[in-house]
Amino acid sequence: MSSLGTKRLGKELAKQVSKSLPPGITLVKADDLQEWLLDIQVLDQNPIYAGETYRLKFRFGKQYPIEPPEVVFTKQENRPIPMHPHIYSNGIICLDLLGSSGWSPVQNVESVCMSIQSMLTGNTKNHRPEGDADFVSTNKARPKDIEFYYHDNEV
Amino acid sequence: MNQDDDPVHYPPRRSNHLLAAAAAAAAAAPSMPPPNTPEEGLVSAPTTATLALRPITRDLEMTAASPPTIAAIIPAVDLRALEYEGNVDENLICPICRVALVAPVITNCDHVFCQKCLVQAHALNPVCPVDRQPLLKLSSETRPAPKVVANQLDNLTVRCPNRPRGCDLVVARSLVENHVSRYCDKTLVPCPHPSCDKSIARKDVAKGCLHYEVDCEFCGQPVRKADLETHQDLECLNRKTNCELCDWEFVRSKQEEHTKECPEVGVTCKFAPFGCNHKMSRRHLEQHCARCEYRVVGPVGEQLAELRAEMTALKEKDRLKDRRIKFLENRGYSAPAATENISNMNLPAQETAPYESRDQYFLSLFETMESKVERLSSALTEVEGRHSMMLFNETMPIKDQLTEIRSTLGVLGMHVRWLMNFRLQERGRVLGGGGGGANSPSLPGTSQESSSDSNLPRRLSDTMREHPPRL
Repeated sequence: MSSLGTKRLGKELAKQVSKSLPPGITLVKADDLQEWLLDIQVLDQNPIYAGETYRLKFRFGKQYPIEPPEVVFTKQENRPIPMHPHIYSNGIICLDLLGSSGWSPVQNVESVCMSIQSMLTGNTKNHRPEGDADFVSTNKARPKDIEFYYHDNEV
Repeated sequence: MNQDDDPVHYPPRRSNHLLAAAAAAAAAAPSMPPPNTPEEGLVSAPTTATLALRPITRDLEMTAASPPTIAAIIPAVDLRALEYEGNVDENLICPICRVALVAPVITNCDHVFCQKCLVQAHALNPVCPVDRQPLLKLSSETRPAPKVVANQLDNLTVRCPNRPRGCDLVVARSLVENHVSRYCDKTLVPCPHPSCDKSIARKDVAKGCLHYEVDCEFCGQPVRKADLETHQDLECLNRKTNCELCDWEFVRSKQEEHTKECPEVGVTCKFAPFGCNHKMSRRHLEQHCARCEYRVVGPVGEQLAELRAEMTALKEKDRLKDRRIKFLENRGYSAPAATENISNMNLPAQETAPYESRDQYFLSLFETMESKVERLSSALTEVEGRHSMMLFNETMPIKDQLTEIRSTLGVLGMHVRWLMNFRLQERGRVLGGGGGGANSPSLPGTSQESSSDSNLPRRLSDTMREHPPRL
């Protein structure tokens, strides 16, 4: 990682360790500056996500924060993949913020988590994206190399 | 600031020309580790090379084959890697790299970034990173940030990047480059030995190449000669040192043990818990304790502590007793019949004591209940008396009024009867006049005669009023 990236991530880490993250977001693991794990919860009474905790995996490339981090949900015991029309069952998130065109280097881990949290909070559709099974079985590309077509601004 | 000969996007500091030159220099020395790490002592991109040095460095880099001079090799200070003293104002922090702005530029949409950060971000996505307004050409849509901002940034105080090697200087950011490149004797410069590619602190340059390993004379570990001094000063555990306070010489690794017994180390009086604030070195402790004003208080205090401990023990006992009483009380209320069984089960060893206390408890309960009942009954009679009095007071006037009303009613009845009689007489007279009744005229006649005798004027008027229409 560039010195810019390490410095910046180090700063983010120090900030998040010293100050607390917003409610519903907890830092689980940040041993190095390449991969972080965070848990997020949906705080309001959305019945789709009530009582569940989801695990996000951030991977920071060499160019972070110029380039977006790779952010996916990972599945574990009692850490399911949330139901959402923009989240595939393998954890890949279709969110313009995480693509090269929607990313801005001003974003950081905290703001990305909050975006995802609010994306879940506002959701009312309890289903996977169209063609989820196909995508999950055929996709070999890394999340940031997938060409998503961001069409749905509702959720 | 010599800007004129550089085809710069941002006049103050940067030039693509220079960047290219730096890349060439780096390519020409492939063995060199990556730039921007001051410890390696190598050429980095001359982002902030001191102005006076700039022309020289550029010349050297352009003719990369010539042997670099010391001045050229001194690493430029990476302003982004600096440690700032205190907190930097949020407004002076680049939203991209999150450190104090370096060579700030401002966009047409009024957002400020480090020039380098914005160039990197722009290469990926030609929009403003904050509000996503399109930024087609950086050169036309951005300009250097106002001088005020640059001045504020220059005034931020930073630590000398050579702090790990012992330079504790804190200096304004605008001066740190100058300090590092010219004055700081901890700055790493290339080793003067022609075949050595290591670097060495500037102060040691005159000693020749120190890049060979020697064994530390105290701990026996191999240490590079150049680092020996730092090792012995700071790291080596076996190096003997003198206690700052008592001059006792001991091995550094035994520091803690010595602190525990050093006669000069400050200690508090042993009567401190009783209020003595006196502090002295350990060697004066006994002397002080012998005449400490609190030594009289000492034994008292100890006794006090003992008493206190006893009290807490008693309190604890009391609490236990309370709990037991409560426990028994609860059972007494809820299931008197079952009490015996339960107490037998739970407290087989202490049968008698609880029994007695329970009977006593019941007795006292009974007594209190009795007194309560007594109180209640007396209150009841009192209330009853008060009520009857009230009733009496209320009913007496009513009775009086009733008799009064009754008498008036009698009077009224009399009047009504009299009037009715009168009417009947009248009617009888009218009927008698028409149909002739032998008995009816006799009654009115008598009455009229008698009344006319007594109340002549009124009767007259009455008859006057009554009679004319009918007669």
